[in-house]
Amino acid sequence: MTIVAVDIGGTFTDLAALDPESGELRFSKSLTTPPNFEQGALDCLAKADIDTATIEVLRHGTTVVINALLEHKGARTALITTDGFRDILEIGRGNRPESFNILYHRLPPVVPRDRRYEIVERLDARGNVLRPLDRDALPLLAARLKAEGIEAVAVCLLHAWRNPVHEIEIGAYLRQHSDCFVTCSHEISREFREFERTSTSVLNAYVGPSVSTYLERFGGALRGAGFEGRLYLMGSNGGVLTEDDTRMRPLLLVESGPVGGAAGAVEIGARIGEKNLVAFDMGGTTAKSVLIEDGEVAASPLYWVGGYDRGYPVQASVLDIVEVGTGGGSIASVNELGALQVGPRSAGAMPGPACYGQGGTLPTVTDANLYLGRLDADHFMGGSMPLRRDLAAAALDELAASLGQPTAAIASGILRISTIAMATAVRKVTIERGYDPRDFAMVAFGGAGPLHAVEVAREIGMKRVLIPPKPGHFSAYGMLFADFRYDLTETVARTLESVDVDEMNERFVVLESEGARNLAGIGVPIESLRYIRYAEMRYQRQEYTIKVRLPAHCKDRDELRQLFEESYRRRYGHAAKDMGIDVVMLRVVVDARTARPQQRPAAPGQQATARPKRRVVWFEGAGLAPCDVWQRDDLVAGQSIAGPAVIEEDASTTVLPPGDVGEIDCWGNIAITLGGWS
Amino acid sequence: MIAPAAPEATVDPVTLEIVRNLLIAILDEGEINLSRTAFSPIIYEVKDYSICLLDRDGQTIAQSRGGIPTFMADMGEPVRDGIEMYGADGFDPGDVVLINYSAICGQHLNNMILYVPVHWEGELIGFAATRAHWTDVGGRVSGGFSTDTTEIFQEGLQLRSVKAYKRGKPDEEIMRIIRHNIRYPELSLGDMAAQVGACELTARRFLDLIGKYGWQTTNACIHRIWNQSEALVRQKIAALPKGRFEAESFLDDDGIDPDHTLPIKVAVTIAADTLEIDFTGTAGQTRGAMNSGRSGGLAAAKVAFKSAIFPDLPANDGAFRPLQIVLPEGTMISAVDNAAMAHWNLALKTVIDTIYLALSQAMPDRIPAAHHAAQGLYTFFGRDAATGQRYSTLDTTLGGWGARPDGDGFSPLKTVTHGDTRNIPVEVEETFYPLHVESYAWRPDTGGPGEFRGGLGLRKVYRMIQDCKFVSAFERTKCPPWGLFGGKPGQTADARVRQSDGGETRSCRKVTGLPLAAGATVELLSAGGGGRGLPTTRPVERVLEDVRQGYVTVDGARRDYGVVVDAVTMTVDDAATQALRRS
Repeated sequence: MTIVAVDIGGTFTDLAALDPESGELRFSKSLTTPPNFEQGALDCLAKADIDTATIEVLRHGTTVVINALLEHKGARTALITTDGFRDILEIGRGNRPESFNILYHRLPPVVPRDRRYEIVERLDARGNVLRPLDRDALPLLAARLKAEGIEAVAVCLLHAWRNPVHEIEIGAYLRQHSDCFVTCSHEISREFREFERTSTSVLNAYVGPSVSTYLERFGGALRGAGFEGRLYLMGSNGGVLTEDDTRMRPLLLVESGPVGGAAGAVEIGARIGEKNLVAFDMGGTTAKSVLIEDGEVAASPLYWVGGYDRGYPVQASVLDIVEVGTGGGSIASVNELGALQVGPRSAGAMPGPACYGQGGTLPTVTDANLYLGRLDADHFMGGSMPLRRDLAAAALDELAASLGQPTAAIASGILRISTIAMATAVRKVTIERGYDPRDFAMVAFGGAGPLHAVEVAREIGMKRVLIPPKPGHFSAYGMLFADFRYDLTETVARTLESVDVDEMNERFVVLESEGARNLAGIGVPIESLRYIRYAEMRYQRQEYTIKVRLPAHCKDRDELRQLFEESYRRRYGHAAKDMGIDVVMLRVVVDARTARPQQRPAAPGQQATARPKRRVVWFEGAGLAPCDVWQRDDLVAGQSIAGPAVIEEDASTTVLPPGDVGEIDCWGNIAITLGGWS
Repeated sequence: MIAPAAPEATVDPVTLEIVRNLLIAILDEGEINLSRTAFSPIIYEVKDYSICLLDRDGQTIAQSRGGIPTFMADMGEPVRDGIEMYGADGFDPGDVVLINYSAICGQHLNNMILYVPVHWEGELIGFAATRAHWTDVGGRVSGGFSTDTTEIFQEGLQLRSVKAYKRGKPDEEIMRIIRHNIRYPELSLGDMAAQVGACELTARRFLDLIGKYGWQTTNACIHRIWNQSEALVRQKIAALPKGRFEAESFLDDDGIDPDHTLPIKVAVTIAADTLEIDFTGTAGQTRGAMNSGRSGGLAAAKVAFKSAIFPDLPANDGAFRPLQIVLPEGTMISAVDNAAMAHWNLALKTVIDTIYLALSQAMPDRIPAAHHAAQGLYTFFGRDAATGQRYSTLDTTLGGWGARPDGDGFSPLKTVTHGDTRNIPVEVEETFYPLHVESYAWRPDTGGPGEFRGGLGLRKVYRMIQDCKFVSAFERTKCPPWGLFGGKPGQTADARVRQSDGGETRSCRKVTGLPLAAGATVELLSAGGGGRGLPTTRPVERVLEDVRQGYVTVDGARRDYGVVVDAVTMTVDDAATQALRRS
């Protein structure tokens, strides 16, 4: 029996597989094969020599949802709203994030105005019916959807967050009397703010049909190849979803890919007792950071498809990722100010960095690494892709000449500037939540992560960096460890004084049982089940709330106030006296752990036998100097390596600057302790 | 010494880039800190704030990227007031200075500047400064948005370069003065604490940077950044056609005297590599609260200059060196003698648009037609009968923006001075206030007709559930948002009140504290943006699509575009259209 995770990214499809009995791990990588994505997965299975019939569980991360959204390739979608409010979707919030752009415009609404239909009904903010639903209009509406060739429809009525009665009725009618994919807002969000909730419902409907088709096709291809196990999808909240969940709420896959790395970081943190971590993932075009706070992946309640500046909001718990446009392929250039700039332009996979020899002539971060000896031209991607140092040098020479500087200074400058940009992203994920980054350890992965991680960590004063085994496959590996996870919310929007704590606890129980009902469909035994309760609270007149973790049973209002003030003070350094408090939302995370891969630590007492090679490598502060170059496969648990050193493996290279010490722990991680920083 | 001892030319490009990036990161972090810790919604939601690092002469080194656009490299004057008062030696580490004094700051008194000195090795090297909108500073009406005040003393407490903290300790006497002269002191003093925290953090990070790279290198980098910005902006100006370009417009009235419009005159002169904006001829300061001090006129000029010439370049003192501003004393954007300023930025939107109108002659491919610019500020306040608590709402309308050189105007947005500011959702208003919204929708035909159409205005209708009071400030109903190059103006804004006694609907564009009884309705109409190019050159199929979407009515298509559409079949009568367009 095998547990398999397949991560289909933009360029590569990655696979990690584990045999739970022997503990044997396998990895493979192949090119992503749009539009027949299943082919990349089958290629990976073949490369890893896995018999499809032996797969018990297959976990799958996919970019199908975000691609459909960004490429505007969703269904022909309609929207049904409360009478008088069909323009909510287009009105939005009236803000202009590009404050000095006088030619600013947003992305066009996903549903144009002539496909937005109003229906007579109205609730007030307490959920009372002010105008009853015009039921007689429903047959007409269904006929119109058909006549217009609508494939998917979203229903979002005012105050359905408080009382979904009319949405339920419309949804039931349309599901019975039309062939459309139907999304009612309360099925995906129970939060107030009509624009954001409408947008969320519309986007879910928009991708509904294509995700159903994708699942049929992907699952069908695997089953055709003998797969008889269960297929699960990676949700943006860091958990796993069933096929049925995914069909109903496909939008929850919007950040399906990056979830694996975060789940993997939680897992290796748990093994070594580190609960506060920053997962740092650097690839070809970007670097991403995610905070892990007390063993939980930080999630944000609002996500933007297509970016905050011009995109569409999604009211759903999504991994809180801070991303910067710095990756191995980022191009260094002289901008219009006459200044050296790195990224956000990227050489991508084609032509790629100059040193790939595929026709690229612009210097990139990878070229700088190669020029400075930090990458080995003959061992890149396990030696399968020799690099051209001469081409890297030529590209860098040209840039250096235009700035009147020696090439080595420019190459090292490119790395320094990249480090600062990435450090800013890492700092942001911590300070925005009121943490000091120095209290966190970094888990670094992705092809380029280990190459830069220690310098990024040093820049912001972090003291420990963990490089997991196979960092180039870590996202797929991490997916093996994600739990089933459901986020449930309910907006209460009342003052603390008017909260009845007994009633609140009862509402939590209702939310929890609702979440537990979802678990009935997962089809595998649950080993442990956790309910985590939060209240979103704020001082009156504030817009932002903070998420306050509550105990399993909250005693009284005083306890609520005290917990809020503690969280507030930790995050902001102060709390107010005598200020009214609102309880805006209840939030429950249902986390179900099923049988998961068990890995055993390495036995101590192995003897290190391999000897390092030597190579001249450039380090910040030390310049070019000879240093040890190790092969990671040769290292054994307990072995300690002092920087300066380079550790090479198949799809990644770790750079250990002078003064830092890396120790191989019993899980195969390189646990680096930074020294000499001041 | 402040002048760089090391010649700036010796700064290597890598260090320069690191310092440039770190300065941006420092202010980003200060901004996160301020918006996250402030108590007043207008700070974190409306982003009514800015943070700057200034050198010891008050020149802007770097400014936060968020925040509203009007606060553009403009904290130098207020900081210099403190330098004059205390002397460069008069600041100790831990001092915190407050200033909202109108004769210097030139804005409504709610905008409180708070700054701290930054010392390196015992010497003053600069300041970290924040400006944030306090919810209340005392004065005639709660929140400060009166339309009928006539002198600044009616608008609240003025502080002029007052040290609120001395050597790290709050001055309790000053705190008492503030606390007992403003409404919601817990909010504003909370905001003040947030400002102190943000300034201290920004100063600390700046000192970390200096610690790493040395003051001489850092200072040389700062001068190099200024000079690079200046050179680039000069280069951009040099590429524009030379000449003098004039434009004018006017505002409705000053809120006190409804019969007198207020002219705005702008002359832009583009020389070799400088650009001059001359406001001579603009209306004198008014009795009503539409004034801003000199800093208001300067801000309008800077916003227009930056957004037209270098929208993507970070703002610093160097970038503005090629801009020359001629602003006579005593106009409504350079008011003196304690003029009322509650609505200090109401005029600025139109002033900025008028500068764009002048610039459109020099750079027609980069300037849009006029936007709604009406402000459309409105407040409902009272005591909620259900809870017994006081409440006060505050929002401004969203409206149409002008047609772009290559596309229709985008809509809806707040005004050009608002930036990244959001409206308040209907579900939130109805949850927290005794208000009911009946509808919120496009106003068809309000976008200025043109080959490229102006963005549409909106109609939002409120019905009162309880008795309350109403404040409004709506402008530009007499000088509609203009079109460019043959495009027509957009439809204008209005605020219409219908009392529950069944009386007539009344236009209430500028009222302060108008009583509304339960059942009364308030209809807020926002303006559309101006069009661009002749309406009859708009392709027929685009007009038809607008009719199908309901952006333009069948009548509007015929009247404004000469396109005849059958209302039943939604098809174009080609023959009738050709005939109409020919005539």
